Amino acid sequence: MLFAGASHGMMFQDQDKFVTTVLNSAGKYRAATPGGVDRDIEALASGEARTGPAAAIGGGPSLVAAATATATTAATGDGREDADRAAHATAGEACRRWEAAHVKRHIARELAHAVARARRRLCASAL
Amino acid sequence: MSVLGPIKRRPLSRRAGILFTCIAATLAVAAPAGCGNSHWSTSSSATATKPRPVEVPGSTLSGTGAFMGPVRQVAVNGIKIGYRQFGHGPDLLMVMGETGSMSFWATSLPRKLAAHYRVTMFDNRGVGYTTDEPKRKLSIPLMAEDTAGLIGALRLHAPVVSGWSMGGEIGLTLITTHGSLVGTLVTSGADFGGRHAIQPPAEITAIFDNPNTTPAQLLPYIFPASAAVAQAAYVADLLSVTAEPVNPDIVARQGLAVGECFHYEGTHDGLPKVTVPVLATNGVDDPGVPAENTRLIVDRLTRSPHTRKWCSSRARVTG
Repeated sequence: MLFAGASHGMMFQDQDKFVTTVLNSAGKYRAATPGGVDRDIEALASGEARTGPAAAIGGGPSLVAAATATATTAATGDGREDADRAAHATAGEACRRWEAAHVKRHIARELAHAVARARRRLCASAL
Repeated sequence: MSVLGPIKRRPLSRRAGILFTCIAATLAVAAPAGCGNSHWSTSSSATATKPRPVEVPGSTLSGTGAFMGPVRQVAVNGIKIGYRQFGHGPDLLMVMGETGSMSFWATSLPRKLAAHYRVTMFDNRGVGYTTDEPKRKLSIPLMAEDTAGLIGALRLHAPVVSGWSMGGEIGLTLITTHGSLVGTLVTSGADFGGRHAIQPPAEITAIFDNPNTTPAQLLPYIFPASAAVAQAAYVADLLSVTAEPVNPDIVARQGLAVGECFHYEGTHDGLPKVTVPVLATNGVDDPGVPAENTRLIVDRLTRSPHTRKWCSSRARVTG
């Protein structure tokens, strides 16, 4: 997990993030991914590194920020109110898409692990 | 476990620890009672009976650091390891980096951690309250052995091990040798040593190696310019804690140990076999330990057979 806008003292620079997010994430992935770093986390971290410190772990806020910027740009000339409305609508859609994708990934991961466990049992019983 | 290959000195001061040493020296922070040179050259033998922690008199910090309680020492692996333990919750073990003592965690971060974890922080071999065996060759694997011994002596239950810089390298080595003792590992600004690790650019090394480089010049390598507020807060917090002395001898020995680590492939080779969940982190702009090292760690870990979803042969049935 790479943090944009941070250097060697990352854990001191954003202590709250380190305490509440980084360490907790490690705990969560103990159950989800025995044996290694979760690939999704790594992929999200790559996105975070590109999009800046506003992109929190999980990817949602970065999508929202990007969508908001895009919508605001697209709505230029239609008045500030319209721009804000468009931005919120697009941001809301981005949030929903992210949540849906997140749930899908979670379900897929759980299924994959269940299948893997079953296969391991089969293999072990064949020994 | 032996460290193979010739000794190649790595820049001693590329780590955060030297920065703090510079700061402490510059401001002439006094050593606390009960902590100091008397520990540096002494050694202690592990007793046959179960090690029993002994409180170091006068080691409780005053002011903002009081919540961390006193230092205790426990016999582990031929030395006495000095540690503080505080907070409530799952066990969290903090492993400090090169030339750093546990006082370099300061107070703000430990206070936040203590709200969620029972925090144990300690001094690495030869630093601060932890004794040394000067005749014993210092290495990352040896410090990983010490860490494993401390987990056992204190009966920490599947702790989250969080290692900063060299502390992360100790943690990575620990999970390749004593993975069953660790619940989760979180590294920050670490590499896995060996020939595959990415070293800092020569110009950065030159800055760190220059004895005339001032702490003020080094600080930007710990905190980027955009984090001036965090940097100021951390330095103020650091200076509110009475610093433990770090003997020049152990600085040199740790430098050699880190240098040797670049000829030690055991951690790199062992990572694909670990079963401990790991979260490798770093700042993108870390000049001392290039962030690419974090990706390399991830790459090695994801080669673990335990992450494969299918067993194509009996040899892979390990999970």
